[in-house]
Amino acid sequence: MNVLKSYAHQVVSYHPEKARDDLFAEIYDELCEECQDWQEMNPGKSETDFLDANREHPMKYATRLAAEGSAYLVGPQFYFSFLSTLKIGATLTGLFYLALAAIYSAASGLHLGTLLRVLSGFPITLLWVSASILGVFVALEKSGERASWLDKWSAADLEEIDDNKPMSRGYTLFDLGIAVLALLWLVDIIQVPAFIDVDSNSVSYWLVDLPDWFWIVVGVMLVFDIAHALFRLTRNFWSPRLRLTTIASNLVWIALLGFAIVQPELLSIQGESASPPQDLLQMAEKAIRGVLGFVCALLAWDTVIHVWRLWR
Amino acid sequence: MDSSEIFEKLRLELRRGGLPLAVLAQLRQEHYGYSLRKEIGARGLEIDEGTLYPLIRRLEKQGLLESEWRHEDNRKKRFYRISTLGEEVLVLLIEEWRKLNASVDRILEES
Repeated sequence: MNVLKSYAHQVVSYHPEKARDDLFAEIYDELCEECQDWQEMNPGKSETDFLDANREHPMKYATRLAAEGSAYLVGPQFYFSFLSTLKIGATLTGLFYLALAAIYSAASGLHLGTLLRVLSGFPITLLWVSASILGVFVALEKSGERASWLDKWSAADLEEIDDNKPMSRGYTLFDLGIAVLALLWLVDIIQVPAFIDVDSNSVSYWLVDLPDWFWIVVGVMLVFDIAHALFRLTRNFWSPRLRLTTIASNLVWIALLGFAIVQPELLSIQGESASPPQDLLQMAEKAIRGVLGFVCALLAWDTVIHVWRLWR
Repeated sequence: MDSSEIFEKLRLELRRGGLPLAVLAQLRQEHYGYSLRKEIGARGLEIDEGTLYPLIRRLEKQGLLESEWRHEDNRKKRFYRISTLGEEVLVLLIEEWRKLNASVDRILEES
């Protein structure tokens, strides 16, 4: 067996087929000449000894030979564009499914099964979207196309940022988590305990008398908040536009929560108890109004901070 | 990472910038891969094949080198030589290299 030839074949097998013949000839010639020189200095040593002493694993060697070649699926010049496109694709796919879930919920009366069926398509769609994006970038890489869109750049396009105030990822994730949980509660995927136990008598209660438009606006706002939080996860600093959208969102929420707080009745009894525990009910209503009021206060505080940072 | 590892990495980085210049200059005479590597090595600039071949492929793609396949010793050999464009670029690179060296020397002397 010609071990040098085997080694060269193994190395080129990792490279694109069209480049293999030339690469093989060059590597094989190099190995033969170098081995000859080495054997002159190391009499009695074999070609195998030469490879052991002077060469690494064929795959490592192939990697080094490809270091400046076009052996990447997505090379350095496209890499960050590729990642950005993947993020945008994933976000749009997520938003599409959220919207789809909201439409199905509205049409089918918030059935968990229907919702899960709709949402179960998300991973496969995301996979297809990612594969398509990868395909486009691999084609660009292989065609030798340049990332020409990066040449059309102007400093005027840079978004103004508040570099004194980096955006807190924890704050954004908290917003995202709350919005997702609230949306899941709204479409009935997760449920909070809806009963009061008094002297072993279970009494069910429900939020009442809030008009349909209220819940529709709440749903739209939750979807918006999720999209907004996902977008903020891609940014490091607050920009005036992001602050304005946050302020607008907070104001809408304050109005919605304020509307709920001032309703004369928030809860109604749905159980079979002959004498509804009015005291307990009133206490529960007070607690809910208190929580809603506290959330309103937090939102107002957050709004004031954003306004102050925007116009200071 | 200890200081010798860091030094080795920086040393390779430092050398990398000068390699295209050395290869282009050496290819004013015709060479095939191994002979080119030996010639450059004999002048004190060791260059491994994992660096040399990607570099000469890139220089050829840029039109700075010309190559020709020939049969010698029952093997195919690829001979490289600098092109006319390569010669023009080499003159500019040599000038730039000398300026760079002079600047770095001045900085090192003043520091």
